[in-house]
Amino acid sequence: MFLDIIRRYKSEFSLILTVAFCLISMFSQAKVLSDAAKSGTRVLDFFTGTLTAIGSDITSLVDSYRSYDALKLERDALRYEIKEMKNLRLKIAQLDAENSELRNQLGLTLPEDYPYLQAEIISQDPDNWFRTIIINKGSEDGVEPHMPVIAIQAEKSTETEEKNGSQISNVKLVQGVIGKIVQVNKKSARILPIVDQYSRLGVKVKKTAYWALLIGRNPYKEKPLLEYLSLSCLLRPGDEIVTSGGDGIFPKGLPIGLVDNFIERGANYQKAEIRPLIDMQRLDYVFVIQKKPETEKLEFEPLGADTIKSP
Amino acid sequence: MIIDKIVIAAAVIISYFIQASVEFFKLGEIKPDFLLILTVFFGIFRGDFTGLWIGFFGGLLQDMNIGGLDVYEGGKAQYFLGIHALPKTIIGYITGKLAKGINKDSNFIIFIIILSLSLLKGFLIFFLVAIFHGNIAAKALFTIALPEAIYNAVIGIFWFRMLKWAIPHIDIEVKQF
Repeated sequence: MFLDIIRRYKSEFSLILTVAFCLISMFSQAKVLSDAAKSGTRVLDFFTGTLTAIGSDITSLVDSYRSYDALKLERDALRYEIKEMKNLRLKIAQLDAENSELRNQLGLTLPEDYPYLQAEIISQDPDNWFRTIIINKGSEDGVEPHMPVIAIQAEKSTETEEKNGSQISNVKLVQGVIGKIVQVNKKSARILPIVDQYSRLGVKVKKTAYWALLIGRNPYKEKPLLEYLSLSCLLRPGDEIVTSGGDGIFPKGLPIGLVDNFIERGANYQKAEIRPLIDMQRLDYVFVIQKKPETEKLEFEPLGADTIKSP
Repeated sequence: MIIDKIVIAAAVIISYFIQASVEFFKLGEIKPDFLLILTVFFGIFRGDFTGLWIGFFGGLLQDMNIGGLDVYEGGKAQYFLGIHALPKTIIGYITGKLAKGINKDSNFIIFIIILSLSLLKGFLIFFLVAIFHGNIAAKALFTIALPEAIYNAVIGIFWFRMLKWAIPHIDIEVKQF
């Protein structure tokens, strides 16, 4: 009887079920469901990893039964490979030095205090309403939550020559902050872009060193907003905004963007729209700076008569 | 029919992949919603039941791709499950109900259906974002929802033909449940 009713109204039952699921997950902010979704990914990763490990074990078992001659051949091959690897290491060191030199010449110096990792973007913006970026490097490659992510991009500019009025196209490379890692799986990681409405970033105006907060606004607006900037700072369109380093996540002085035309002076602070240096729509590769967040607590004693001791 | 379900699952996954990873179809800052087109396609040819479930699972895949809320402890990202799944489920259901008795081969009808349902999706997402997600400006309806709807409708005409070519047995009614 009950089954007959379900069969007859299966679409309506399905609709109620799915709509209820969506509403409950949104009302409850989907904490439990999010964990379940993440666990699902972990389970898949676990099975993939296990199958790979079993495959390697079988291969090594078969290898151990090989004849002595085969082992000898393998040893010779490995010796040759070691020699090749040594040469390769030398070559890598040379290329690394050359790469640093070229970067210096172009003015694109990645932070040298921290190692960095190049990653490819494997998924971006599944919908027009949200900005989300997923890269192909994960915990196995040393990526951890809160690691800063930057990118280098070619920017085309057209200049008109004064003498004959002809236009010349220039291509220059720009470097800028993309966001930070917020979720890490074994072989992938998710970036929270600076334009996202949940992004908060400690920044400063490069020319005056005044500190402020950069707040992402997507999907409300594409350009992030510079907030809590002191009225003493004379802000002009085109001023460069860099990381302050005060949030403990981003290294100091990484370029972020330029002040756009919208500048508003309030009663206590001023705010401005920032045009990110990197066009998020044209991203292919990014660099993950392998810097761990400085979360050390500042355990100062409260100021008082006893705090300040005489020498 | 297991093969039928495999075909549907493959269509959802391929559409999701095209949606999330292929930038070829991007026009300015707008890209078409292939999962919505797929939902409408199955809603029209297979009815409300198939349409709503495809919409639901397709939307869930998109929701799982959107993390963002940064929880400092443990560096977890919060998923917003439902923000795409709910509109697409409703669209799948409505399409199935609307599709009875329409000329499924008419490009004009396909265009109008996708256009109106894409606009409905835009409105639903707008309100869901406003209620559950945070700030959003009404301007987004004109800068995101409207261009996306028009683009979906144009691409939809070609995509429908391609899907019909890829899934030739789509017209055959399948007894479900």
